[in-house]
Amino acid sequence: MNQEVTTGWLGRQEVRRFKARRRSNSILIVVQEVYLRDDIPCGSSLCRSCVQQSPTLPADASHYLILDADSLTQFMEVWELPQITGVIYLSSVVKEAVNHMSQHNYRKLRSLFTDRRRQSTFFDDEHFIYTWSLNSDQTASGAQSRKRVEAVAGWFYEHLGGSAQIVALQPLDRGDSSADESVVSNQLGRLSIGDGCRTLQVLTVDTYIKEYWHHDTSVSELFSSLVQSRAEAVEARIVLKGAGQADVSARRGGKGSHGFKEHLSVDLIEAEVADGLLRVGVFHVDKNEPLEGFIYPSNKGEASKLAIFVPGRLLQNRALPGDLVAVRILESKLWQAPKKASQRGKKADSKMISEEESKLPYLIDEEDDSSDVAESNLKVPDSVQDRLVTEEAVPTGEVVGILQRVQRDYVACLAQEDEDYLSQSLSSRRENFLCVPMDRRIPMVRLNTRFTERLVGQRFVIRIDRWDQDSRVPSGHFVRLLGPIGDLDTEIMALMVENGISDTPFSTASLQELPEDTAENPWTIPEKELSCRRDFRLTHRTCSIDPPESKDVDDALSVRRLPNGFLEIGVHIADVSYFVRQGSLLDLEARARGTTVYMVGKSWHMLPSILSENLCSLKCGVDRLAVSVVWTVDPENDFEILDVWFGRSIVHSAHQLFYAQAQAIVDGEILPPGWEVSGGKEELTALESDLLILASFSQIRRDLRKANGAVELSSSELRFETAANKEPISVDAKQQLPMNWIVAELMILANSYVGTKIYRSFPSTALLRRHQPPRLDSFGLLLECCAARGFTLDTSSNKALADSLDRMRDSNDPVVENAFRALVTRAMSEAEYCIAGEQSDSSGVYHYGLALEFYTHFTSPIRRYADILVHRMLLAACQDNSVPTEATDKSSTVHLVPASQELHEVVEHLNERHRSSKRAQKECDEIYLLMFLQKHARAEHAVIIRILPKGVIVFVPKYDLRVRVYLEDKKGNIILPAEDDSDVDTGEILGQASDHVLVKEHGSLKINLSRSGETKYVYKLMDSVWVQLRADGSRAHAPKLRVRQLGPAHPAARASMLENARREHRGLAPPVYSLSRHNIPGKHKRGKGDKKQIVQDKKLSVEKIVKEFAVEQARSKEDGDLKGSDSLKRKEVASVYEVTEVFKRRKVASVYLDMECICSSGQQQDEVVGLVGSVDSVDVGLWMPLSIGMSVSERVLEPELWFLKRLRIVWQKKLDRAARIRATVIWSTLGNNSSELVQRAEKEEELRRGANVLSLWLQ
Amino acid sequence: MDFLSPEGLRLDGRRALELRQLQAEVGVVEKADGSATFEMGNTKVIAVVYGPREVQNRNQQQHDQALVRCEYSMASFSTGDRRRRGKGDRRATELSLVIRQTMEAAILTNLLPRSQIDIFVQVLQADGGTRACCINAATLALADAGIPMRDIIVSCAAGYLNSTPILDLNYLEDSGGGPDLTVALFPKLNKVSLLQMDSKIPIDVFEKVMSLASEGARTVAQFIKETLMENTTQLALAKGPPKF
Repeated sequence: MNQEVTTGWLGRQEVRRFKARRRSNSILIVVQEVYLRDDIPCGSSLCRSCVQQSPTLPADASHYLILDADSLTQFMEVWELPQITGVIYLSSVVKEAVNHMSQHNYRKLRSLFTDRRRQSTFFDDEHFIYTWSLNSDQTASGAQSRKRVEAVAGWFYEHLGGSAQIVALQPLDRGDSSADESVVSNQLGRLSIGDGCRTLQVLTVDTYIKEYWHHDTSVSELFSSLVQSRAEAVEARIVLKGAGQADVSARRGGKGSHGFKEHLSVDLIEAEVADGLLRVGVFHVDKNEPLEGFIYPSNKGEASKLAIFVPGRLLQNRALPGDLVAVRILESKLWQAPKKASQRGKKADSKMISEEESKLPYLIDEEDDSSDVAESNLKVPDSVQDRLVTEEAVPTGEVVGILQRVQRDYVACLAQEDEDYLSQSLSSRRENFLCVPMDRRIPMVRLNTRFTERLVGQRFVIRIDRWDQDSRVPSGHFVRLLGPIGDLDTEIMALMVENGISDTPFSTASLQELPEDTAENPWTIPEKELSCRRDFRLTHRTCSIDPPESKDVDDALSVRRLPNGFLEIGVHIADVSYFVRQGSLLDLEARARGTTVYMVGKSWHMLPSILSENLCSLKCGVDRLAVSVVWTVDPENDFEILDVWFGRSIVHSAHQLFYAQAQAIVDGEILPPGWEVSGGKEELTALESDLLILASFSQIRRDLRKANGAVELSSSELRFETAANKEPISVDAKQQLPMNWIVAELMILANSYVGTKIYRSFPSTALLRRHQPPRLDSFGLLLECCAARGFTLDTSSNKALADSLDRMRDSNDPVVENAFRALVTRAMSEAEYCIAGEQSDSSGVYHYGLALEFYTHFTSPIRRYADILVHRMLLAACQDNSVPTEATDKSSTVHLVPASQELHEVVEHLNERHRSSKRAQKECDEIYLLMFLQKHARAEHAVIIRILPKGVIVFVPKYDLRVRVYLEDKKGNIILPAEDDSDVDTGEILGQASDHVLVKEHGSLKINLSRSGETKYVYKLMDSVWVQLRADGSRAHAPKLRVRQLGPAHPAARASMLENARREHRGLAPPVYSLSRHNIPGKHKRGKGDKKQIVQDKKLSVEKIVKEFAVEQARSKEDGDLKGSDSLKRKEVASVYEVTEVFKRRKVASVYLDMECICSSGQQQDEVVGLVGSVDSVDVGLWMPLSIGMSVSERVLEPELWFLKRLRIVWQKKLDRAARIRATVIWSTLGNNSSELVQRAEKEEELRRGANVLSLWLQ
Repeated sequence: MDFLSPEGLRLDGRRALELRQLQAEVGVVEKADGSATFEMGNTKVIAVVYGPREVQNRNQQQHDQALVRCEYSMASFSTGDRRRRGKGDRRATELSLVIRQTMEAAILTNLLPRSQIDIFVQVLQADGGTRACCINAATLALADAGIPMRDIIVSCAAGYLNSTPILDLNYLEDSGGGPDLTVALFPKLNKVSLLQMDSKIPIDVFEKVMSLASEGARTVAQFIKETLMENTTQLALAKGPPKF
């Protein structure tokens, strides 16, 4: 590895600088070398003379823009717009700008020229021999820096030979003197040289925007609102300066004592933090309590677990959620108690469920007068003082300085008052308005804009600029319009903005990198790829199983039987990394997006649709490139994995199934129309056996994982059906079929194998996904609930946790168990991407939830960027032992694994994107749910998870919601559970409530009759209750949820109960291989009443089946008549098979065939026996008179079926209670009750007669 | 902090694989047996050699080889802030030792038994890479003094910043927190005599950085040879044609 040490520079200069040192109060002389060179490329695609690899400046740009430092810092938001391309960032300008910037802004600035999608370049003019000047000093005066910008512009113009228009910006006029000094500017402040259309211009920013961007409203509007906001800021500063100290205090006095305190200077804060007087931390505010801030101090060497409470706007002193602030802790006698117990703190079961609670004090609804709002905000501290309770007070502090403002976009709309004003007098020239941010934690924002007319009734994006000391609200500026309030698209867009998800389309340059695939010129796999990939097209039957209507098929599965009896099970993942080359524009786009965001009815893809829905997607019937993981397993030996192969491949998916369809196939049901698979019956049988193998394989892997301590978590996902106008018309929890688990398990297995592989190859840079153990204190609430129910929850390890959850299942009703499971899920920490080499803490890269040593994301490269990275790593890891590649390929794959520094940034970014997209999706679901509830109130089953003094917190498992239910309103009236519709719909509080009293006892809450003291209602932890959920609309914010408790007799509750019961019946007696432990015979105990119900239900279904079968039978006989007796026989042989198929479909665990009847229909007895043996459905037994002893013999079987049988044996190892032979079982289950026996016999007789062919019984 | 611009230029305008400007002068102190200054960019070091001469402290005398002593110091004006750095501080002691050992390995000490060689190295101006610069200056001074050596010994440093191996760090880059690896080697023998690094670094990266530093050292060797050649030519010219 010899690197060439070169000397490319031409000259060397020394620059002296003086640096002031704040700490030691001294001046430092810094002498730096400057090496000058001429090999710096200009970065333009037009240039022929520079040696450059990939010029970024577009050849077809209307002009190239050279910014100066002033316009760069002042209007950075404008340059961040995606339509601004072809900008040349000079290193001297950037350096100058950075001096006035925070770290965060610097990162943004850097992305302006490092992000190739922006088609801008960075030009190092300080080291370029033709543009270098001795004065390239950070402290250069305005005139000098201006000269430099002009000089560079001149060089560019000459260099490109006038083939491009160059625009250089100059700072806004500060004085006349600078204009004289300017090398090239004339009196008008602008200059043009050159002729025709290609010229060199020096303009000020506003003339530039006016001349070049007048056609683009988003640029010019943003620019003008920025100008306005800057002007205002300057004005405010002047006023403040001119007014003098006395005046300021007078002004403050004029507004009462509510003015904010001045922020301390940065130096002072640093000094005080060092002395331990201040704490520094990020300011957090809970959504439900906008006035209660918390800070978790991050000072070094401090116990940072203790939160500092900052109540009220006054103490918060202009801090916004997310800011990095410095806090001073108040004296302990001023400490206050928060209404909401801090999440991390111990359970402060505060008595302070105060009146404001339900009202949301700072919920700035449009009804509120703005000044009132501000007034009431500032008064809150007083009221807080009134209810000061010393024993519950927590350390309280005040914000004394803001170290770093959070930078983000807010969605807002105009305040109602302003809107009214505007609609009354349209001609007004007022430019100052208040707007209400959607985020309830953010106060109203003053907006200074000229576009007010357009903002009426709209949602728009704003940014907060500053919050002056004498102002009650922060000031911001308008950025862009989203759309009318209440429109679903607008609301979704608002959600995206609030979560920081960009919705910009793919840049044209990146789209040009896409392969061509048109009708006349379809994309085909290049010859080169055919030769160097493993070809699975003919050898493996491949199918994909996905949610219905999904277009981006990431994964496909295959099974192949090897001649030596082993199996090859393959997971094939779309080879996205083949199309998305490292470092390409497409790669950058995908990285910036990080993940596809799925919202209800819409999604924002990470890759352009041609890739995600076509070329990468493993659609059926076409050859596709894939990266495969193939395991060789031994079916005889519990599917032990003998070998694994990773590598690039070509697959041809034969079937594109969806979960329900695959489930139906594996259950052997008759496929409803539209669900059929191509290839006829044989193909179906083959597919079924494939799927069964996959099912068994994944069952075994899952058991293995569970034995290692995997925790089964539940997360209910909602599914909405929407009307044409996108409004939700129904909502339901997504159904999880066993097939979902089967596929998921295979993906988990593939991920963990890939994770292990890349970890072995790249122990320091492998991208893994880890899941840290939950914080023990997050179980606090849960443990209480468990105690109330008499369970113990062992949280010492994941295995212990999983076991205690399973114990719960055994002994209880599913609603409570589900609630527990959901609560445990909530207590979990989030899984995150990490770099293997960077994890030094004890938990390392272990995945707690899945109980896997190494785990990564590999299986969804179409929708997750992390998977693309992992693909590249895997391919680099496989390079040595996979197909030989050419030497040129080798050099390119060296870069497949990015350097750790870069990787670290990417991982941070991906984690952040992942979180925000998850949050956005959840919020989107919430919005839809609330909109649905707004129209249709729903009664739902809920579980009490916490007792408060005046109410309870309930958990609604179906929607994964935690809501507060009040039993006493603010006036002290008791709210009784609603028994009928009348008071629920009106929302009125019961009149006779004063008859009742609320009594809180240890661990429970009671409603007593006030006169007699008799207890009417009792609320205990983990009790089930019925609640009605509704939502109220709100103009400025999302709809708000209202909850009301229902009595069990309430009609809505009853209806809901019935519906649930019905659903449960539908899911009755699931197939044997189902993965839920509910269904494992013998393990699940049901009450006696339940059992009766089930037997009844089964009987009904059997009757129905028998009737259906009779019809089928008759039909087949007719067919048979036409073909003669021999075929009739065959037909009937087939029909026995079919009968068992029917039963499998009906999820009947065992089927008993009546020998007598079968034999009497003309078949030889042992022929039938053989047949039955070969059919081998879930459990076929022979129903025979007890006198005839007979056993199922294994006869000559077709290999396929023989295999199936073996498979079942393996797979029934754990479930094989039903394998006990038959007739005796029938009698034993009937018990000794002779009358029941007789009854049963009669019933069977009847059935037999009715069906006339078969009699059936089931276990 | 960015040590490399998107263009691939370092803060001072060099590329990652470029050395700073090298300058050297031999025979700067007349009184000494050998002396030289060596400059790598703004780092400037003077080395002065006395010897071989009689051992001053008798009981240190070694009967089979020469005693090599080295004294390293930094001029108080060598850095911007006028911090007093005596020869007694830990850093100076360590560096003295390092240079002595490196030079001892180069000198054919067994040819000069019962004698002493003193090497004085002083940093006149510090701007990163002083260690390497000191060794280079000492080599020149030893060569000037005519002390027998196995091979000239040359040194160069390399670091790893912004995921890029970087040759010959200056002070700004040195204080960037990345690893700084100094290599001293015999260019002809192709043997490494000194390898020093005080931080952690992944093994694959280490190899890259190491090979870069060695490559840099070879370039320095080329320069030193040229300097010595020029010096010798001048001496020869001054002396006039040989008289027989």
